[in-house]
Amino acid sequence: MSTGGQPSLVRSRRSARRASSVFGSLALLMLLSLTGACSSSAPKGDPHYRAPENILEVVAVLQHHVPDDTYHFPAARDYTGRNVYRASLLRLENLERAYESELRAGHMDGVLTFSKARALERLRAYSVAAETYRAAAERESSLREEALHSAEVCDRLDRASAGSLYERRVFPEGEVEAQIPGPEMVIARYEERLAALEAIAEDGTARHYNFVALEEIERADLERARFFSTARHLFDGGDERAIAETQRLVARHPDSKNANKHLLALADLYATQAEEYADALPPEGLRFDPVRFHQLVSSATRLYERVAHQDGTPERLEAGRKLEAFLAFTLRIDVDRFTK
Amino acid sequence: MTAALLAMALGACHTPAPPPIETLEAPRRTALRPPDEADMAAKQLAIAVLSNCALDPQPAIERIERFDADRVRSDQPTSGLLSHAIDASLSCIEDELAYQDAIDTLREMKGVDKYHRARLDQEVADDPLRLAKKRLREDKLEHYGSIYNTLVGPLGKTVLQGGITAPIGLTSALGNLFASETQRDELSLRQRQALVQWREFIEAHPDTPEAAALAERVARFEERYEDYLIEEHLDDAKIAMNRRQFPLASLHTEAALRVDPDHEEALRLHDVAERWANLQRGVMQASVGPASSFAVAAGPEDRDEGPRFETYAQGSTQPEGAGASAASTREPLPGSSNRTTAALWLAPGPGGSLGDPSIAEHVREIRRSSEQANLRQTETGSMYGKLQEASTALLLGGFPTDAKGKGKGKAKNKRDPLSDEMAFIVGMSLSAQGKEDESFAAYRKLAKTKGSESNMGRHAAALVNEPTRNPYGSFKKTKSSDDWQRTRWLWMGQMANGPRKRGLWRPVEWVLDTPALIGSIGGLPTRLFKYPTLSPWPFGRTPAIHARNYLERYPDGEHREDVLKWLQQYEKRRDNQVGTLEIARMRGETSEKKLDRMEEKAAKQMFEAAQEQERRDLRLAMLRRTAQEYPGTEAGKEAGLEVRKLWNDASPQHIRISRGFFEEHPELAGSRGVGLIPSLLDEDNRNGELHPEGVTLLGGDMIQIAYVDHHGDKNEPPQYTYERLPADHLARLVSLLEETSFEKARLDRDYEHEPDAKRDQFFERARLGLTETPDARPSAESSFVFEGVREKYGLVRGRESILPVDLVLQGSLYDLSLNAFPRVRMPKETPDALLFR
Repeated sequence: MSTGGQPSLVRSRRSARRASSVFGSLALLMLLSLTGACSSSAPKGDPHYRAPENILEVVAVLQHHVPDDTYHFPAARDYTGRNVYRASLLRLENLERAYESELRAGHMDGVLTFSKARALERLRAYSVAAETYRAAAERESSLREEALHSAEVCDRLDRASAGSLYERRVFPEGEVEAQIPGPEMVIARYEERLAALEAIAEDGTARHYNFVALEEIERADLERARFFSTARHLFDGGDERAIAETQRLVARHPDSKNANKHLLALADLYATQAEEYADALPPEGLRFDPVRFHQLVSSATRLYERVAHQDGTPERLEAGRKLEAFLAFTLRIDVDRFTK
Repeated sequence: MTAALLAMALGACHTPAPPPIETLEAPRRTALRPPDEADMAAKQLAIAVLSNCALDPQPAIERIERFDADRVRSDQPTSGLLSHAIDASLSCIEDELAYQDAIDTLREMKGVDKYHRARLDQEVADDPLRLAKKRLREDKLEHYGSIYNTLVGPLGKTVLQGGITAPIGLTSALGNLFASETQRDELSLRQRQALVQWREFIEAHPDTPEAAALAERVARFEERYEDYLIEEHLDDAKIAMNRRQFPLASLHTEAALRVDPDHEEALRLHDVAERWANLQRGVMQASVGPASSFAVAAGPEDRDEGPRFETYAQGSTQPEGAGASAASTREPLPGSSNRTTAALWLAPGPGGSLGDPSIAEHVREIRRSSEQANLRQTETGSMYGKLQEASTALLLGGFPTDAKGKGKGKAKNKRDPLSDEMAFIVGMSLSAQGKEDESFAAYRKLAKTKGSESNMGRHAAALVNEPTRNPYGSFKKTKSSDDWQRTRWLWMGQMANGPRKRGLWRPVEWVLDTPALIGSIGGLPTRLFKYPTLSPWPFGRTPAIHARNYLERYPDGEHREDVLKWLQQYEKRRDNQVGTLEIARMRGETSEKKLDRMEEKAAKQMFEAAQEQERRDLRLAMLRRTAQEYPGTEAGKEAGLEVRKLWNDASPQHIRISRGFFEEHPELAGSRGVGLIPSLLDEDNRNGELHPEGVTLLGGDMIQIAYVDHHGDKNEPPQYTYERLPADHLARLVSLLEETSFEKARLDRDYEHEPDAKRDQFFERARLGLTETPDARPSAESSFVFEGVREKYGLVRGRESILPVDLVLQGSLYDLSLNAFPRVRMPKETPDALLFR
């Protein structure tokens, strides 16, 4: 979706794997029976029905985007330019309050709660989504089965994604923080996390959760690469390991919507290492190895350039500017130590 | 008596508005409305859709249809739910293309209201294939439209008026057209945008017949895109070569080769750039070497005017005359090793800096070694010995006797191999004595010597041309060029920098822009008229930088007063009052009266700048600084008062809903929204009126209501009252406010729900009832205004013409001509265009 007929910067695409459904043809048949009349705008209906009208609109938009393949394509944006899942969640909360008296009878409670849970799970709030699904199951019996199934998947996702280093949950509570984990230990943790996520991704009953699981797998790979990038000074061969791990990330997710970001991360790593190398062994000094420096610089440049050629992506701008900045850095190196 | 009558008359004409006693209505609780058939059908449909369509949505739609039919029969309005119900049911269509078709059909359906249709239109407009088609259509319009627009003006003039200038204008337009067509990118920006849309479509729907049909076109466009990239890289490489940046040129050619490793021109240019880069490196290496090796390696760096790209592109690997230089290599100089050592001693910068004690010690060590090798003995009495003497004196912090002007060892004989080193020492010594001009005169003289004659000329040239080492020289140079630029601008206006660069031969570009040049020169009187009041002042920036560098490097320099005087005039001219005052103090201005006047002006300027600052904390800091730095001035006092006022009136938020917005959306003012008493909006001053400023959310649960003052004048500053809203009331208000704003943005293209993260953060917290503890961080404050469209644009709003052309009426004072013609209106640039540049 976009604003004012202008294209949004990113858009969602559904998976090509989806097949036509019976309901689609039913709806189309019904539409055809109603089409052919004048297309002028009708006046707004009875204001008493503004609340259900708005709820149906949010449900329509949200449900249309629930099966979206958000691993390969960026999440859709609504007409205000916001992430469609976040916008749906906020609109549902607005409607709950703005039409408080119309909804006081509670007949839409189940629908609202279930819809919020659908939005929440795409915002990575798995534990809140699971709780909300369970509340929806209690409020609306027709959605009970679906809600409980979704709650169970969200619980699994929550457990599997709980290893995030960023959230400082890589180690169970109370476990050593004073000592830095070794690479093998970190890898073992990530492998464990990956196994749980892959089980969800391969689960045939999980439907759109496959894409959510794929996103989580990518996130786990990214965190693993980041761990080695951040901690590279702490291990022997840390620099090489960090590059290998980031290359692994790039290689494992070439079709992801974030593929360009991963390439940028790799380019950044080469660039940082080049700068660190020049700082540690000043080019005018005797220990500076032009060949090693050249390798780092050319790798970074090549990657930045590759991303800078990707038309229509925000990473293009980022890569272009970073390339310029990096080349400016290389200009500071004496020409007899580095020629390009 | 008269006074009493007057007072009565005035009283009769003007009824002062009493301050309102109550501002908000008491909360009302509406009766519970039990859900009816339509409500329940809507719920049934929502459940069907949310169950991933495991339940059939059709019965719910039929229920709504029946309900509406009954309402129509009983002369009641329909529920308006039907189109939304169908829309929701369409989300069960799993195939994206079928969904798009269905939405397209739905928006044409009778019964879809304007608000709903706006959303469906956006959905359809976002289809990648439609977008690609649109971009290609725009591309054609842009291309042919620009051809038409280039020609239509001059053509109209020629047909209507004839004369001499008209055909010249037409010829120039044709030339411009030819130039722009030959320079046209292989793939235009809009074509690239279309290519991205196609790629996205193919990626999302690889197995569809549409994707198969697109494949060939995409391949063709991608090929053209590669050509475009190579062309871009090679152009950059050529520019770099013209600037003698051979390593950079090589980098660009490598980038081109990465796109197509076998591209012939890229390979050839890469080879040329590489060879020249190597040659350049050789020259750099030789710069500290003995003159003989230096002469051999003399390359493009050694010339005043280097060859242009065309020379390099011919495949030459040797600069012109380099062979001759090699052939005319001087005989090895006696004591060339000594010469190298001397050059090392004297070379400025790392390795040769005399100012660095460690380096100086190193140089002493070299000297001692030399002495041990009896070098001194062999050179006793020669220039080398004198040079060593002079260098030692300099190293030890004194002045060599030679350098004082009457030295016995002054290099009088230019053929003496060490005369240039001696001259350099003289320059250094003069500099150490604070004789800037004499010192740089010596360097300048030395810098003029040819590279094959003196190795020190290069170091002297570096000193003279280095802006940080010779700031006064740079100041003078840039000032002169700035003066020249100003003169050019006065005479030639926009043509001051010559004709527009189109990549053609420069004289041709001049010819093409002749009509523009004539027009520019004709504008001289206007420019002379505007010149004294030009703002912002566009000249003098670069000389000002060098002037300040000079003052920093030579605080007591010979030209301090000249430079300060110029700087003061410059700051005054560009209306920098703070800067003017600073320079006046540096110049030691003694007139108290003058200083007071300057201080007043500076304080006023600072105060005004502070008031323009949006962030409260920064505004406060700037005001405080104004008050502290200029306590004796009027503006300083005013700033102090403003600081106190800001402290007293500070609120965590400042989100305002104007009266105009309330008038356009009365629901917001009523009990569902703020809950203002209706009399505040009844245009009757007697019972109090809401001021145009409206209501402001101040953060937490506090709101500020602005009233028209007791004179009833809406243009006067308002009076305020403050109210607290219960958490659920505030949550309802912000929810309704946001929904109303979204709805308006969808229906009214003049209204935009502008993004404001701080506002949204406050709204989110308000919805959750988390406003008890206001977010006091200054950067969390939003000053967003919900403003009525009528307030913003007035009663009559401008509309874009539906015609695809604009009618242009053009007049020229220069040849007293008048011309009228239609111009094709070009498509607007899309927001994502920046991602293609």
